[in-house]
Amino acid sequence: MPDVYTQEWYEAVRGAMNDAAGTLRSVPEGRFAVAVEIEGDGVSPYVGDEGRRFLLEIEDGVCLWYRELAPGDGEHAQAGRIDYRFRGPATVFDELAAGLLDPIDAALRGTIAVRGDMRLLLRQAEHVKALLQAYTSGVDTTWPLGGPPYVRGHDAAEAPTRA
Amino acid sequence: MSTPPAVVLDSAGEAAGMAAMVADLLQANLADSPARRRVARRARGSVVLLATDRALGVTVTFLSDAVVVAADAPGGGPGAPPALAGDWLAMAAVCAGGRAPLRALLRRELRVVPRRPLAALVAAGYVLKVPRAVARAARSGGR
Repeated sequence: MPDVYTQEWYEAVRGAMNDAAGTLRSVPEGRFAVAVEIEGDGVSPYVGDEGRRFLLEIEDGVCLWYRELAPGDGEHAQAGRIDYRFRGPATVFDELAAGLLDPIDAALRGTIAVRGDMRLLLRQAEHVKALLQAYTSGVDTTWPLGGPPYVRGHDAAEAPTRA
Repeated sequence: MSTPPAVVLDSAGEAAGMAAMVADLLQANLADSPARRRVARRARGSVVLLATDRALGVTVTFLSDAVVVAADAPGGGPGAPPALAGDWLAMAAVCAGGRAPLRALLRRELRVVPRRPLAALVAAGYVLKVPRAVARAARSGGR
């Protein structure tokens, strides 16, 4: 079981996405680059203030690669044009990866901001749903620093203390 | 070429993300299609799009020079605007031109909540649907 946000985990997620895409009757043709921006929120122990950025490239329904960008790495240099961008707080992405949140709900409620050509995205809704489900439940993830749901600061302060 | 009506996003509501997607879709369709611009300028009234499987809805209101997309949906009852309701995926497929609206209605993937007047609903259905040429281009690949 890979630790979250490691190269092994990215590969496992990529494999799960491609397995999911393989079950669909049809997948969109063409090549798409997706950027994911996770903002540090002071709650997730896996994402600092500087956040984390990821890129993935999908061609004819297959995720070719999924990798994390180092601070200062230019996303256009690695993927050319970015077609879609997903952005949200770290806790939300952690809860998605742990299967605690529904990704479609998160997008429709605006918890995660989605930018890009909506006409294309809506056309590929079945495929997007399959990819997101693979992300949320396709990999048995290990959380070495503790997994979500997290006890937030004020919750911890209100929690009863043991004698 | 006429300028498209402004698409105004009112994201203060539960369905902020859905409203942003619908607003983006409208903006792109109105920019590309003179026929959709004409319909949007002539239409008046509000339409609700309800994603029943998510219990989320947005309201699209046609004004003379703008289309307002609000991130909430009023409850039913007298005076409530007409609504197109169904699973989010079915609604997305119809809007993106991947499924014919009539087929979706006949197969009960979508339903029109019988509220009147329906003129705004017909206008919204047309304006939201991706122009055929764009949908065809999308089918032939993203890049």
